[in-house]
Amino acid sequence: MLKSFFIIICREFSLAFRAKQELINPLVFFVIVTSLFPLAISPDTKILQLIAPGVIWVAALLATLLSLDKLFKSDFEDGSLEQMILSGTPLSILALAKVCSYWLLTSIPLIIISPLIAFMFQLPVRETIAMLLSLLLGTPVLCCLGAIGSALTVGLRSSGILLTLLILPFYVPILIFGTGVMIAAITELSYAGQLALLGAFLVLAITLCPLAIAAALRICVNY
Amino acid sequence: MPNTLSVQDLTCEKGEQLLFSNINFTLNEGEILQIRGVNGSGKTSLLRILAGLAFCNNGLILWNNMPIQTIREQFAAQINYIGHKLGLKDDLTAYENLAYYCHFRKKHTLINHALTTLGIIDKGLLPLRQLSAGQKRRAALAKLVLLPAKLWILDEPFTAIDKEGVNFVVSLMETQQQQGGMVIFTSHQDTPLTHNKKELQLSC
Repeated sequence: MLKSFFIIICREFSLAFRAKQELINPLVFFVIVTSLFPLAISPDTKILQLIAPGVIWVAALLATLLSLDKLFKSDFEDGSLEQMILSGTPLSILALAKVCSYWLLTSIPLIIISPLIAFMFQLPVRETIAMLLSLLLGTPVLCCLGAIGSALTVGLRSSGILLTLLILPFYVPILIFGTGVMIAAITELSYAGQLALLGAFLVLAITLCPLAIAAALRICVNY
Repeated sequence: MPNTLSVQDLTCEKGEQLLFSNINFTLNEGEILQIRGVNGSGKTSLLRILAGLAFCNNGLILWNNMPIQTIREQFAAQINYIGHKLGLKDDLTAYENLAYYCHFRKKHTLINHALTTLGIIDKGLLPLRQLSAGQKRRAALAKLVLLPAKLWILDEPFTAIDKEGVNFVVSLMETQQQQGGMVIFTSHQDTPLTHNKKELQLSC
């Protein structure tokens, strides 16, 4: 079971590195969107620090959504999804592996580059650390929730916008607590509480979302 | 205990339309079932239901007297399903595709043997998108050699492959039969398989 989990991750990585453009898109999107705000609003340090949590989190959230509709689509179209269902390994484990590899391939590069963005917004070190921690705990939840939407819309022809409308409302709590961590850090309060709540969301998402994803995928192959 | 697949009163509707109703058959070890029927008579739907991918409206599918819905993973581990969609990644080579499949079922060896058997060993290291439709189908069928399974469910296995390829596949089915396996396939072609073979005619 664990082996199948890692095999899926291996396969996703070798596929991703054969289509490198797809890999870079969310990262470039994140960098460009966040750098538009200082240009559009003001280069003033006070204002930048004020808008930084919102801008960074919203950009990270949209970057996660960017290629989410393709998560299960190619598997569905070439029949790999059917073979995954019939592989004898519980589908939820394989779904979790897909989500993990999606997170590793899209969110991790984004988290790695985010200190640079924080530097651009002139954030102090303490807040940069808070941002890293909140993204590290928050983005996997975004991937898990988004994967449910992706699985539900996999059989539709143009699922992109529907998926976005379907999933964004569910991102609101993560956004609130994610930015909450950064705002608490900037006002020099303890942000442990918000971080703990994000952690709780993460545990809940990792345990429950794979079951929902698997159920959604089973419905989609039933045509 | 010998394996059996038995189907009782299977009915399937698509939308408002009745595809087929009251299908009954039993398949024992060493038996082959060919499903025939005109286009749109529900052959693919029937195979998808038998594989546990699609739901039926009514009826029972029993694997060793257990409904397949209750033993989903165990049943899936015993079957080899190749549908219209081959389940191969165009960006990976034929070899890699098969390698990932055998890891799924915890077997390492025999990939080259499987590719040789299906006559595409020289294409094994090319990305699958460069192969022809027939070669892709052969690559998918190499899974049959690679991964032993009690029950093969093959949807139009002879599509796109040449005469020589058809003979390969027929001999694979015969071997499967001799080893006590079962095969269910759909095809319009008459095959040289005659031993222990059943036929099911679907009509609209």
